[in-house]
Amino acid sequence: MSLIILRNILFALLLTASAHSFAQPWAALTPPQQQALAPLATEWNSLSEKQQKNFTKIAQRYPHLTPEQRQRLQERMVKWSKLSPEARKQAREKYKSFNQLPPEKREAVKQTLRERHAIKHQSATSAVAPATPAK
Amino acid sequence: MINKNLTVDSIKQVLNQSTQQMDANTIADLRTARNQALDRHHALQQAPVLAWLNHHGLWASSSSSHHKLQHWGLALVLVAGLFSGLAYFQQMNEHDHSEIDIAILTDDLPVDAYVD
Repeated sequence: MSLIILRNILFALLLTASAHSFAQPWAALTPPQQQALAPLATEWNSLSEKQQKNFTKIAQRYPHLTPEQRQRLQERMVKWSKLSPEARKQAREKYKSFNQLPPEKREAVKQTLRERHAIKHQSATSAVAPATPAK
Repeated sequence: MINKNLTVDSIKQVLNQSTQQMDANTIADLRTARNQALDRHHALQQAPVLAWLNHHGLWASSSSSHHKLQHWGLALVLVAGLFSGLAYFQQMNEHDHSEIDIAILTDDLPVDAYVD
């Protein structure tokens, strides 16, 4: 009788555990998932379960993206994974509100942002670049 | 051949007569079995959940000496089940950000534009 109780408890606990854990090691991903998430290979196992789950959903949509979109996605996913949850949340909200703007206004804001980003990028590279020797 | 005119009373009488012809050991075994069945029935009436589990083969009812253990076990199973249910519900309610994340990550503006 005690064995039956124990069996039922173990069964319930196993159910609980399976309902909770999503964590998937890199090796457990399918080849198409690994291909889509290749830039994250080295840090995949250290990502939170929630992030892993989100990225596997992103990997599902990867085959439907254009080559340009795939390239952008892969270039940016490492940076995205390193942002804090709060920063990602803020970015999503900003993106949503930005997309509610009328197209012409959106384009103007995009242009401003591109210019600002270019200036920022330029100043960052010039700060890192070695000084030119004086003639 | 069974007589179709037998009444309930006459059947009882026949059974009682047969009982009198049984040996003492058989009667003692039958009494024990009856008492056990009554105990089990009583215990299950007190705990309808156990009765349901027992009916579906998920729980083995037993003598009253194991009731405390059974109740603790049942409580644990229920708590574990509740916990699983809550976790599942929470998982179902979690927002799926993948669509918007893809939009941000493939946008013609860099991620910094939305983060800064």
